[in-house]
Amino acid sequence: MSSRKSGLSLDRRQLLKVSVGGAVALWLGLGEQALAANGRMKVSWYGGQDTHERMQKALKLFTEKNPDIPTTVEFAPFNEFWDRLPVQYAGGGAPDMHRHSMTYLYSYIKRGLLADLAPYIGSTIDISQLYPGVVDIGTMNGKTNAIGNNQIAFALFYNKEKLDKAGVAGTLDNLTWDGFREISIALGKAGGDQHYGTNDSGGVLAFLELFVTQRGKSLYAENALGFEQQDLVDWLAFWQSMRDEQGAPPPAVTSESAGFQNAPMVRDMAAMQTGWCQQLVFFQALMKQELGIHACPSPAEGPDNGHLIRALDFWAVPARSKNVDKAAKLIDFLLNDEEAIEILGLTLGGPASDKASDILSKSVDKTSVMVLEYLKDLRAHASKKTPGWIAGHGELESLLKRLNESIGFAQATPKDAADEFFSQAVSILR
Amino acid sequence: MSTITDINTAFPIRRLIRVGLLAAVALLMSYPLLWLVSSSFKPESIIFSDAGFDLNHFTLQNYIEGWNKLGMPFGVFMLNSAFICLLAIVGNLFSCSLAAYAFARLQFPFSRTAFAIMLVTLMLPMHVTILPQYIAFQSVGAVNTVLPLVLPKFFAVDAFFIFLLVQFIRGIPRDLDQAAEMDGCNKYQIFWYIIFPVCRPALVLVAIFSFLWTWNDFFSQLIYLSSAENYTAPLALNLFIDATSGESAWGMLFAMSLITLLPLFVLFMLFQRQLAEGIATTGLKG
Amino acid sequence: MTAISLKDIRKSYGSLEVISSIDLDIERGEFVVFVGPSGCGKSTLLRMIAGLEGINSGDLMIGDVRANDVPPSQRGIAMVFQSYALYPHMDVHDNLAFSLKIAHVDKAEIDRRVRLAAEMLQLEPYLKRRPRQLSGGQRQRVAIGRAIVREAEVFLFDEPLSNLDAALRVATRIEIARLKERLPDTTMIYVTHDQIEAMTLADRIVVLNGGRIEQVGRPVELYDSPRNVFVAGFIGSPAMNFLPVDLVFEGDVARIERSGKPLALVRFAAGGRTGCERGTLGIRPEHMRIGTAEQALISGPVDLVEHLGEVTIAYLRLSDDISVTVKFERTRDLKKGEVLHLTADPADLHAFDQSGLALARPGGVEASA
Repeated sequence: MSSRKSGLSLDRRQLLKVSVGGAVALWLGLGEQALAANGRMKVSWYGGQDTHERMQKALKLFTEKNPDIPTTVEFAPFNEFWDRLPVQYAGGGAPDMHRHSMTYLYSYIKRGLLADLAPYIGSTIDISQLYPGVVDIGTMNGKTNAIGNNQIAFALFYNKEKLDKAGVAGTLDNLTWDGFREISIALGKAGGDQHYGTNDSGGVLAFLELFVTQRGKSLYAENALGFEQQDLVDWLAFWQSMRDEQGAPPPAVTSESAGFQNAPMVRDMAAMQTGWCQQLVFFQALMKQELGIHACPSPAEGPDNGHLIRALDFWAVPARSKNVDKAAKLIDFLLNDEEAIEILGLTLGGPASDKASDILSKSVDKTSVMVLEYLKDLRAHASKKTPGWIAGHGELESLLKRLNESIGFAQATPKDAADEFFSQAVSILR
Repeated sequence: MSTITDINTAFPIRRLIRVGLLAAVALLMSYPLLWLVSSSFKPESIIFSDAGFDLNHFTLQNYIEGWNKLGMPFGVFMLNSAFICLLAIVGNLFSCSLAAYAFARLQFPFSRTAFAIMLVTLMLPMHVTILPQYIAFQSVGAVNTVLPLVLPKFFAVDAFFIFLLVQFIRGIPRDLDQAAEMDGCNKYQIFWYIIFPVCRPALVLVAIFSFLWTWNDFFSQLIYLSSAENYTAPLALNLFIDATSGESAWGMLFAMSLITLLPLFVLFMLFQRQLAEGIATTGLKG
Repeated sequence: MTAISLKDIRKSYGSLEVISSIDLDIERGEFVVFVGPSGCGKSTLLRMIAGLEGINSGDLMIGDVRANDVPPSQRGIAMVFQSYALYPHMDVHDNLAFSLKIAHVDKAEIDRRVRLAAEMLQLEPYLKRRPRQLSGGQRQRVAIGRAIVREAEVFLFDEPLSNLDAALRVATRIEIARLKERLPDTTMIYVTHDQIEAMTLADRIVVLNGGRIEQVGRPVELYDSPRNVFVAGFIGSPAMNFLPVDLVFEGDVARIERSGKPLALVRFAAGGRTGCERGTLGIRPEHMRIGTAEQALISGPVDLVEHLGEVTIAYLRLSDDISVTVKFERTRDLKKGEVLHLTADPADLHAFDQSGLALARPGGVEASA
């Protein structure tokens, strides 16, 4: 047993005591949370680079007009934003005002994470000029936890040149589902082998929503699906018949179509593409030929064409924010201030008020004007409802996509797929 | 001896075939990289429509625009990344080697238990630790600084490196320690003058992998760095693409990615020998 | 002046006592060799003196100071390790200078001492080389150089030659002997299992066995007058031949009988013993001579012959299955099975009692137990 000394004046054990003690002291001395100690209001959003630039410009304008409310900003692409936000909420670093998405809104509201903006509606936040659905869609049980910041509807994009060449240009008006099918097949064949009419939208839940709304039902009712199994079978069978005759591409092609640059229309493999109306701008940027925009098919008769124009993105304030009143001011600014509207353009989506629509139609480019006009026209024919999406929507989106794909690979029939969808929906939506 | 000739000179055709085959495979393997390079010099609209390498539309637009696209010169992000990685390397080198020295050479109560606990932390998934860490850093206001990314490295949190160094130090003969003790060194001097320098092959490995893993630690960088001027290169590159809005600037992304890759490429060229040595080291000492 | 003094030193690992009561005084400038079989404790004892192992009880005095708790570097001791323990990342110069650097000796003095040591050991051409670029012998010299540079009063050598090949071993042994001459005031303690090193280098040899000292003395003493069977068998190569005999004690004298036949050649002092007991007769192989059948102490057939050129070694197997080794000078023509009659000078015979203790000549003094 060694009885040697270390030879250094500070013994190893003493050093240990000092460092542990020091760490404890530091911990105790730091006290409580230091939230936003510098008094600035933190605003964050998701989007592309264009959104980032415009939002920053708009916020600068806001601070000019409200010098007592300085801001700091955070922004990220969609996926990264939603990776980061839950950690911030849990860890105490959440922004004071941020953009929210319909995909996740319901679960945040359900867990009481968002502040109630109802007290500010009508006073700080002027909603008189907004489309009615904009506020309603974020209101539940008398509380308004989010306010929509755009209006979006589903649409059909088409390559004008290809339609002219195939001789079907004029037939898009009053498009029925059968008509849609015929046109797609004709367009597909006109382009030769490996060419199709439109992208395979059988797995797109938003499009299915359109379909069932046209049948007088809805995607969700309370906490369950709002339509029947037969509706889904009809839908899936429709797309199967499209794929059978070159109306839509086989699943092998669809699986490689993620992202705008890979869409069949962009890759010259299809003549049409479905999507959210403002995406026309993105598709056009990737293509040399001119694109047109049209409403999706609807049944020949009906009170309206079953399209839904809704806000799918929102401004929300975390319940724990200490700057709710300042955030409310900012929301009002972004929705109503004319200069702000002009700065933001269509980057957040379609405009949330007629006022905004008018301002923008004078200042934006040709393609964006097409989007604005599409929305204006659609409003005349569309459904007035603004149903929301409930928690689990994201999972159902992937489920439908997967099931549609398995039908395409002949691994399941539409009936099997519909059965599976409904049984899984029960547990997903619980 | 002229009777035995090198197989290459005797059969030049064979050599040609071999080299040709290797070159073809190398080209195949590097195709994605070559595509990246050529796409960065193409205008955005033809990147995905033309699959070839044609340089008819050669343009530097992506580089010029991309450099300032995010509101500040792209070099800022690369410097941020470099800064964080450098600090992480320094932190790991010192804290992990000190911890390894303690485990490998020193007796202290519960050393076996501590060693076992350290190994267990290797198995903790990142998501278990990230939230408590975030809360801790948030409470001292350290979020949106490099502190959360760098400070832990100075406290020997990378159990993998500690373990690596422990094994290496165990292979150093204790005679060296004793000779140093006879020469008048205390425990700290033995560490600094003897153990630390002799660990060099393993330390090179620690440095290289620290660099790699810190550079690529996207999620931690994402949640701890929130304002754009603090972004690291991977975060900044990520800003160029947004899958949901379609406002992706692919050409600029490729151009900036290439610029980011260049210094890494140079670093690896310079240190590839040390890297190979470090990985292959069996602890042989001079 | 006594440089090092061990008084009743003991060491245990748990319940196992590895060093049992060692008492030893070493004079200043002496070259003492600790020798013994593997596991006898010689290295442990050395390391206890160095300060690398602790002492359970007893006093270690270095000079006049009780050094049990003094740190190794402050004992005035330098050590040469079996594996040289050279710092692989430093060149020879820095290896030599290291201890002085730690002691904050000024640069000029460091240079002076390093140069001196390098010159003494012919290391000047290698000062800029790393250990891995040196041969075994050169590395050994650097290890010795490190000790010299410290100008320590005591050098400890822990089996320094065992990692070298035979030729190098001889050469380095001579160098160590020369070193001893150049540093006459430096006390050196040398541990080895090789008794040739012990015999050639030592002023005094300490034979250790099982944690105890068997005998301490000058090399010639140990060779001529081993105190017990162990030392007798350890010193000398090939080892001493041992024959079981009967000891008959009559008065002051002990007679030796073998298989009933008295061996009248020699008598030993009884040393106070009475009666009869079994004992051992020892004769070294090199002391055996060929004689007549009547004179023979031992007769037996040759079993194996080894011709080494300088000597011839013959192994005999006696009728009672005892093996006897004989060493002849130069080459002798011996055939297997040839019967040899061997005798020896009475002065070269050793007798040991049943406990292994040597018996003295009549009139001589028996070593104490």
